[in-house]
Amino acid sequence: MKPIVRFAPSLLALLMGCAPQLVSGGEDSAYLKEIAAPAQTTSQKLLPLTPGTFWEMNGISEKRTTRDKIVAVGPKQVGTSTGIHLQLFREGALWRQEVYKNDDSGLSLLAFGEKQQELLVLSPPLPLLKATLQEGDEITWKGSVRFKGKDYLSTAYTRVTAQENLQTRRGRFQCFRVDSVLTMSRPKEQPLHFPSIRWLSEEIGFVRRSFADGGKPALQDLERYQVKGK
Amino acid sequence: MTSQSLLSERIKRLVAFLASITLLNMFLSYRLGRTNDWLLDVPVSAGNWEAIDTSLAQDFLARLSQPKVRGVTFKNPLDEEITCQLIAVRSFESYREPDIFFPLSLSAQRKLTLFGADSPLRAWVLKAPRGNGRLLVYSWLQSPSGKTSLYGEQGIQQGFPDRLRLGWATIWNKEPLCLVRLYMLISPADKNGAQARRSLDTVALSLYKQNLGNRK
Repeated sequence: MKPIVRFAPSLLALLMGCAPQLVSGGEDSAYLKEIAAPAQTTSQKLLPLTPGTFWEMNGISEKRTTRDKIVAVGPKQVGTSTGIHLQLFREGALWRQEVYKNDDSGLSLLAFGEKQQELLVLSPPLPLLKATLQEGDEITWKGSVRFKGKDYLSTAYTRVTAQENLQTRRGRFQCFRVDSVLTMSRPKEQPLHFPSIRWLSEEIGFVRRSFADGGKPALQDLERYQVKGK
Repeated sequence: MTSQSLLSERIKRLVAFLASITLLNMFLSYRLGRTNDWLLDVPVSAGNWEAIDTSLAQDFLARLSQPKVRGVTFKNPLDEEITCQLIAVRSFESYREPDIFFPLSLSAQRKLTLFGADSPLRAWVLKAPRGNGRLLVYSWLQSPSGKTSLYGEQGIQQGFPDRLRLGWATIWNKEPLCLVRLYMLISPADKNGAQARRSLDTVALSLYKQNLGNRK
């Protein structure tokens, strides 16, 4: 039999569309499984802000290790809203400040800044987490940042990226990873970006934080904590 | 049979052969020419992903036989990127994969029905040597009526039979086809690529829906 006659049926089958079927599977098939129902929780469980609560963190910034402490000191009025004032101490000295509101409408950042009295105030408050949240949640925000009497148009984006099982020196924690970036426009200058990642664990709060410290990447890992009211 | 009549017979056969080749060439040019300029419209944004036009490498386009193409990078506020390549399928060369895929190995693939049960797309994972990094890829062929189909089931390097079959299917297809390829890096912290899947789902759905206007 001539070769053309021998192979004609297979060639015809090939050309008529008898294509190889997609063979599913492979060593990384876990990456293509049906996405399981996303994990859910509430913002109040993820970041307990009862005054007196504190987190002692091991800080790493520019290859330098520091001892940081974040303390929920009490209510603070920012504009027309009242939040909980967090003071961040580095080697015992006040280093940064943040004001959060965490209620039935979710977790919002009202203001933040360094050790100076004057904070960068977000208007309206910048929502970080929905009251009931789940992996994959995204929040966008447009508003202004008021600092030293000037208003800067700003945008922000937050995403509950994933649940991660984090190992720190304090132990292993199941966390929600929350990625955020705040972008502040400045006339005739490059916009300022404030990227940050917070890893939050239920009934504990901060387990890891990653942020820009003077433009350089910095990391804080949980060493010890105390949640008041538990 | 005299040597003269044998020669005449051979010339007749040669003429017939050349005529069939010419006719086949005219037919293929007509069928392929019909499909060589249709690309999907790209939305300005997909969810929180902004579309930015990006050119494709010239040597890659040369390997594809210079079809009509559009390259787009979707970028989100966290500076994550999804690469999107749209290729008007002109011949079976159009199905070649980009150079960036070749050092990688196919470590998983699956048919997804993100657009509906009858509109499949192929999801695949490419792994770097020694497991350092993974790419998640979505690819499919789409026609103006919104019909989708798969290609490249055999892996990264399309073998000749596979490309012949695809090229042949292109010739007989009643509608033009646009090849869509979306890919992004899976972050090492992204357990099982769930976030990468959500991101590619958002962009793929947005692209697909943007182009349902011509559905018959």
